Amino acid sequence: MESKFFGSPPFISQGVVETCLDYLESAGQLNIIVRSSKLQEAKIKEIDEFIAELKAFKRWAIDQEVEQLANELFHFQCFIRSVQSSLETWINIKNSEPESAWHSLMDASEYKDIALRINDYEGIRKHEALLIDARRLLFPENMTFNSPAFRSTIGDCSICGTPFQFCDHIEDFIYSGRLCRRINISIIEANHSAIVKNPRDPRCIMTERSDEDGNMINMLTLEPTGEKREKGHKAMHLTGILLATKPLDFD
Amino acid sequence: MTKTDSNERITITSTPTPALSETAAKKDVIILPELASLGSGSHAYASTSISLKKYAETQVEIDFLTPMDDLYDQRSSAIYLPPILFVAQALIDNQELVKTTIDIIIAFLRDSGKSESASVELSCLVEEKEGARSVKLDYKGPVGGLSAIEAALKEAVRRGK
Repeated sequence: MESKFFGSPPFISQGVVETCLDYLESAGQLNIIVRSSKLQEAKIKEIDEFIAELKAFKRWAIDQEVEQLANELFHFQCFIRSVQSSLETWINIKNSEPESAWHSLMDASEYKDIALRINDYEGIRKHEALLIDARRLLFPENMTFNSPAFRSTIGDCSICGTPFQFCDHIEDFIYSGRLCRRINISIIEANHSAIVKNPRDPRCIMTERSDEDGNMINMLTLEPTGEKREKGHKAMHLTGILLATKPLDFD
Repeated sequence: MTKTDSNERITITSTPTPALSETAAKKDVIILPELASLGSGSHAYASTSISLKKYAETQVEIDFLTPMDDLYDQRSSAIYLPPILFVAQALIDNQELVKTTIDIIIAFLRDSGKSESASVELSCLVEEKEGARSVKLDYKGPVGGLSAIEAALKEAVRRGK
């Protein structure tokens, strides 16, 4: 089978890994805010195709029980997804969509964290430094977040698909190139939410606050949203994200 | 309250021992629901409870206090572990049980990718001989400081508080 990115068979592990490294290099060339949005958008789409081919090799490694190779390919999957999310951050900033840019940057950071659990070297540490610098330069220093508490169903295992309480897989462990999570969870009851500086999920930001006259203000852009709330006595209206549900690609 | 260093905090109190079923009483360690929910008919187990049990059960006799239907998820930056109860008879039989269990919890957190500096909250109960009350230790601090629990708990049990 001819592969768009990995060439023709026979495929060897070293060749697959080298192709991933070369691809990271090419994507990294665009991972700067001043690069062309058109080229960045094309790369974002192309990364989906690349990951699809990479996953075919990962599935082969899983089937052959070559766990080390499956994990190494999972590292590249997460690293490349992290670069893809940071490209999305630049696009969102350039399109004046700061909230989406924040979410993309947090996605990039979460993918990077998982990639780092498998392999740690200069290339990914440089990428990590870029994400830290982006957060410092692009977003306010003192952001506030929601920290909700809720009761939920137990859900299913992302690795084997069975109800989570009945399998042997452990949440947040990496199994042959996949991250175990509880999926298909339903929230039964919201309990409370606290406003915190250090949340579990930094996507749960406070997005709007009211000024002294009750005008709602976007907390990232500081622009009035046009909405007016009842003026509260020594109180402020706040709007925020309680739960971010977009799944990341850890399968 | 015992201050162990600037990052970790250990508080010792006394609390009623949860009623154990005959099966649970034969285990070494019991995973409890949130202590505030113990008096209610609807027990709420921390979202880390099932994974911790799966990880630990190959090394210690561990079980839940009651069957569970749902989980309680507290989504702050701290890792909320379920409260755990050390059964009195098990501690008499195995004096290393607290150390072994804490070591398992530390390994569980490390293997699930948590850093040494990640903030964690854990309550440990040690059943006193008569079973009516337990010594309760609340830990808030980094993963790297969890090993301080063993000595603090031993000292609290020795003092009988």
